[in-house]
Amino acid sequence: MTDQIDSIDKAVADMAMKTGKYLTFSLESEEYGIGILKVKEIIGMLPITSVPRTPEFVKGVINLRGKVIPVIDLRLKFDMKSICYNDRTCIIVVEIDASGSTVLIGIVVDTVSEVLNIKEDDIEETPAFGTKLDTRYILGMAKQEKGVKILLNIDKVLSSNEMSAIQNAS
Amino acid sequence: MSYENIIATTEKLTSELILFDPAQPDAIKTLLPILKSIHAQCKMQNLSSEAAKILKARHIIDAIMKDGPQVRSNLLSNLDMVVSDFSAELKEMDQKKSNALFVQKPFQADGQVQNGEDKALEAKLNELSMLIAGFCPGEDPDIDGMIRNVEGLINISENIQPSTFYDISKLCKQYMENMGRGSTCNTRPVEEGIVLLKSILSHLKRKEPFTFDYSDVLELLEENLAANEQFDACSENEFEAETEQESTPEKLSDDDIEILTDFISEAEDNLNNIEVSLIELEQDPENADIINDIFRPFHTIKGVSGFLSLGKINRLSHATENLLDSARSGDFIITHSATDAILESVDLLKQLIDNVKQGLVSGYHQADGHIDVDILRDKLKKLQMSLTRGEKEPLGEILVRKKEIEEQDIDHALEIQKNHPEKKFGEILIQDKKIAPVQVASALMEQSAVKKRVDSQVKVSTQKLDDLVDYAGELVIAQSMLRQQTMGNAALTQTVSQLGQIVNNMQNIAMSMRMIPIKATFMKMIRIVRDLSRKSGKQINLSMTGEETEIDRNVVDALYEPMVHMIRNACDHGIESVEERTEKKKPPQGNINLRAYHKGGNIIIEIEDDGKGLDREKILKKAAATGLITGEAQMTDAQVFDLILSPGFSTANQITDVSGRGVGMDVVKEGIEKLRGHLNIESEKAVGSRFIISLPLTLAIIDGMLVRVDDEKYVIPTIAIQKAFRPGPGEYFTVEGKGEMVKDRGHLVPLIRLNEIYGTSSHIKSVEQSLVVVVESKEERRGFLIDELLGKDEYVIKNLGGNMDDIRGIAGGAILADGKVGLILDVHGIFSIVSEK
Repeated sequence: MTDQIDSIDKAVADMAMKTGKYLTFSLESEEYGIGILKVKEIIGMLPITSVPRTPEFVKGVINLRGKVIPVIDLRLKFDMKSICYNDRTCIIVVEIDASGSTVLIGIVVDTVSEVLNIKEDDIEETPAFGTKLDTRYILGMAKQEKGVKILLNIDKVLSSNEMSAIQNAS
Repeated sequence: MSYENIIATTEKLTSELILFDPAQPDAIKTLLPILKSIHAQCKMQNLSSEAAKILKARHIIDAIMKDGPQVRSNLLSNLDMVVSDFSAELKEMDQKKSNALFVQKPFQADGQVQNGEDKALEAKLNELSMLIAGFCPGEDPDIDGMIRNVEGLINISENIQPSTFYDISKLCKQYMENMGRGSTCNTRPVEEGIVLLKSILSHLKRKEPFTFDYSDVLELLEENLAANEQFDACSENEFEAETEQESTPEKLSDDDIEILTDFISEAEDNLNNIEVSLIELEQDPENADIINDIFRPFHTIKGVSGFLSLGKINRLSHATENLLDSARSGDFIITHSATDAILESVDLLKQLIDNVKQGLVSGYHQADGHIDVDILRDKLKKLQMSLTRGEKEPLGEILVRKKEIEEQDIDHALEIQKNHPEKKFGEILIQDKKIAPVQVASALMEQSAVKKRVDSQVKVSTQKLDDLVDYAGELVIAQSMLRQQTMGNAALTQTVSQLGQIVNNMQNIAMSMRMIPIKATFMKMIRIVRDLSRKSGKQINLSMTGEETEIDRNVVDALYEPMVHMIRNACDHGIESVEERTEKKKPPQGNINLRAYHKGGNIIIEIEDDGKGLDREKILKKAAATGLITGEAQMTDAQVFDLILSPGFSTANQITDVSGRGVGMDVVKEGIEKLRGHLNIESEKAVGSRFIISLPLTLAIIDGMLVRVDDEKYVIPTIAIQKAFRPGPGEYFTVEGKGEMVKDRGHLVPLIRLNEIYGTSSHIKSVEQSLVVVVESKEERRGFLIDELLGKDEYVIKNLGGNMDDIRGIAGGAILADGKVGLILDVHGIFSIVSEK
């Protein structure tokens, strides 16, 4: 009985978490969303210093007003083919939880679209297949008039395991 | 803090009390900080009885917070009374003081006119109950004052009939005398006695006979007289039980937490100071200044812990304080056993304070039942007694040396002292008119060294300091960007260079604020060596030089563990036992030398011992056995000794409880390299070994050379760079199987192509058209092939963020003058990447 209540509670909490505002952006022809609370700021392209002996998707580091933060190209991370950066290319600076502390990481995306208010009802569970993405990264799929947006769990995408791949790759 | 201050604070307390609304019991907590400050001030003015009174007020407040509303009004009026009494008394004392003749006196109650016997008795009784009320365990009770009081009662009541009053007063007096002799802290019988006396008095006033049964009180008083010893023990137990009851989980209020946090940080500081001073004292056991330095923090801890009702801390620090007090007044000289006991007490206090700290984290009072302080207290007490009887203060010798008195005067005085053991040596001399008190005082003064001058200091959180250093670093970068952009404009350039100077000064100051002398860390090593040498029976002397060398405080903290490890190694493996040493014709006492000094922008810390040294053959054998090395590779001494830094390497035949489990030196190495430092080992068999740690002055800034490799810019730490040159024809070789070499002044240096390692480009560059930077790390020299040298500058090191801190070959990032991020090379990391290929 208590187990049931617990699981219901958990589901409710999950639901409450999923409803909210999402920043949407595009990669190739797909639309993605990140919870707005994770986003610190959106900046245009800055000169990136590449860091050797890191996985390919780690583009390098930038100087964000005196702070050095790593930048990751989501296209490369999701095994898409890379394109030349243009004036629509943006870096979204997100704050992720990494083993207790928060770190800033920049992600390079093709274009930033808009901030959407997405209700829980519109979010569907992650399909088990049908995408080339690792489903652990995906919070859910948001059905919108213009199409389906993939909501990312950005903490998982940039989780410490993924980042420590940086070291092992060398 | 002056006397007026106390009065001002007390007035504030009174007004707070008047404003206090009984309907809001929680508001009473606001009084606690005020009480604490009064208490501290009283202590400082040596008004211990007043301080005790404040303590009483605090207990009442505690009771108010605990009890229900019906009891509250009762207690409140009680509190009102205590506080108003206190302030009245203060004013009275203040007046006396303004009459320029302030003498600390026992309480003069309400200044009543004593015209009748009744009134006189009442006044005395009031006074007495005040004294009793003010008395609390752990404080020095004003027993003399009490006894004087009771004597007054006895004198007055002698003629009063019936004699009940007289009899009970006498019993009370006897009991108090017992209290004075033993250390019974149970005042309940006396309190009962006083209540009884009061009711008898009120009956007397009304001229009614006193008909109640008071035999129980008499019994209580008499029983205590009969079995004082036993009672002593059991009252202690009672007290113990009481405190334990108090400390059963009880929620801490916010104010309590605040006060406790203050207390803990203060006490921890104090205890650390005590430790350092104690070790100094051991070297110089008669230095009154040092004893004072130790005494004072104990006194503070005692006082505050009493106020916060931390019974065990209070009692233990009190016992230690007593011991120190006798040493301070020159009853004896602190011996090794005394320092041992005091150190033990410091350790125990640390435990107790840790306990309180844990309680703070959980928000509840933490039970401290598992920590037993009584054994140590007894030990301290016994030590105090035995020492007082034993050694004597060599005051006489000083006086003779100063030619103030003759030898026979001393003998004479000592003769007198035999008959009057309670008299001090100096006192006797003065009474005999051999010497003026001034001379004795000056001789006593001579025992103490010149006081160190201390600048006033401010406590700042390290976070703020780090931020300041960060921003100062930003400012330097911004300033150098500005300089580049204003190159063409002469007028601007001047202003900018002026700005540059200010910025540099500011940065230097910000940096220096993080610097602290390494002395504190060295002092801790003394303690370790001392403990270890006792444990192992070896005689080890630790000497140090350059302990005032300043070093980044982050480095100091991180350095502690590695140093402890190396010191342990030196004591355990390095220094031989006394027999072994005599056999080898070395002095029986082993020496460990700690040295700290600056050398070329680095801080060098050396740990040198004159023990048996590292055994090259043994290390090689062990390394071959564990597969660390193969064949007979040519190895320099430094390379061989570096083997002991590999994980799991230990040549010790025996595992002791101190060291020798084969984990350690690799951790030491890692710890030091994390600080961008290096560990070098020099050693000679049977002569000794020396571990040399070299560390950067600060962790935040690095002196670096900016170089270009293809399109990327890298910073090479200047410390590592030996030279840069363009190889001429015939200076480049390829060695079959060993890679490429360049010739540098007759030496062959292996070449590393940075563009290959970092993958910036794949084509093979012509060596003749590139530059070679010769770098050194750990006695290995390599040449980096680069395209261009861009200049030398200071760089603020930033970590790369994310999880990219540990990329091999890269020590961090730095923001370059053009605003881009440049990577700082980790020279040693690059070497290890190459050697793995």
